[in-house]
Amino acid sequence: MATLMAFLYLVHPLKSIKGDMRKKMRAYSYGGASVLSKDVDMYLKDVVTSMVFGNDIVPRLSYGSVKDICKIILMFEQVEVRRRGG
Amino acid sequence: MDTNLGESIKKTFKEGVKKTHEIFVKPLDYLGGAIKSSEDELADRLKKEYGIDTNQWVFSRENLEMLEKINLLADVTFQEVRHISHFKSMRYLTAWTIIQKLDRKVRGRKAELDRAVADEVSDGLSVAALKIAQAELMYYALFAHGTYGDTMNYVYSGRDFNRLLSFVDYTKEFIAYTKIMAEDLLHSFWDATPYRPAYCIAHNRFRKEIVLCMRGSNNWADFATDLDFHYLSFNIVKEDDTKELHLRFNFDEHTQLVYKDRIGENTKYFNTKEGNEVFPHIEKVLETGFAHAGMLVSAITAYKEITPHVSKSFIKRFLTFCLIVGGDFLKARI
Repeated sequence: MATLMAFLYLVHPLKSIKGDMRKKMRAYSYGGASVLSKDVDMYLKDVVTSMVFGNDIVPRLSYGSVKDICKIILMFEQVEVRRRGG
Repeated sequence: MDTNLGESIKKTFKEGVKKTHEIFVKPLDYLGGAIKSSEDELADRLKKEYGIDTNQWVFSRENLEMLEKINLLADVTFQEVRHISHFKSMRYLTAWTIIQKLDRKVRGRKAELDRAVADEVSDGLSVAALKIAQAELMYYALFAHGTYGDTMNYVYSGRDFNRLLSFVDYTKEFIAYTKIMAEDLLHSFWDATPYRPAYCIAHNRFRKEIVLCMRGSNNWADFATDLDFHYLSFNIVKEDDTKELHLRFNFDEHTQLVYKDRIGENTKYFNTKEGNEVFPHIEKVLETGFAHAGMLVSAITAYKEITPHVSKSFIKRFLTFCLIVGGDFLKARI
């Protein structure tokens, strides 16, 4: 949520803050979920700091990671099927 | 009659357990076996074809070249799935997993990156910069924690239930946690509903800044928002005349029905119409992205609600920083 709010404030900066919004705002996200695609990463790079604790699943679970896991399982299945067949 | 009923219940239960085992547990066993066999297979082939003895493996920067060789081998081995778009990252991930497992087996501990590799991974940040970032994170963790009040302390205790029944004064608890003065809590909203998160705006006198704290998932309403995990597609567009940025959502028929009212049509900032009907002078699309629908919609709701309060605070107090702190229920309790 902090990441998204920072993103919205960067796209539509507050008029009451004089100067560059990017320099005056910082966002800290504690174990935030993966909610944005990588394409908008460049907008948030200098502003958002995220913290992930150990092997916490929530920040690591995203649309892309689930797709990757599915494909890894498929790949191992392919290997196993071929091994048994051969 | 009772005996029959009891037996049928037992039978159903047994069958249920068996089916659950077949559906959920067996594939996991199968996956474990598959990983193990492919590990052994790869280890054998590495030894035969590339002369890499994984029993003598020591993890270091030089061995990253070995990683390339393993990737090459994986490339040859898994030709069948080459058409998959994420094949490259998947290959690296697999090779990495195999290396870690092998390394753990040989050295009896988790593989650790050496210093040079760690520098590469840290994206050019120096150790000092990382330490500063860590200190900042620790400082603002108090605010993130404060939005939950005492909830964190009750998570694994039986007192949770009592707490649910009683009234929780989040304002009081936030002030107690962050140790700010009562008048420095400028605005707060704690009763979250779906698509409307809880938040508070505080004035941090020590650093002369406004701290905007967004609470993460804490109750059923927040979880309802989390579970709305469609993705919304949007463009960041630049206006030709004023050079202002705008978000333009690319709605299909389904999402238009669900989210149109929530985001708001023809507002100043968010254009929900497709094409260039509202901003005909917009020519340049800077970026296209995707976002978690529930979170984005609730962020927009919060943005609309919070912005006047934040602006007012800035104008009144002449502060230098605007800062946002986000928290998450699951993380803080770990």
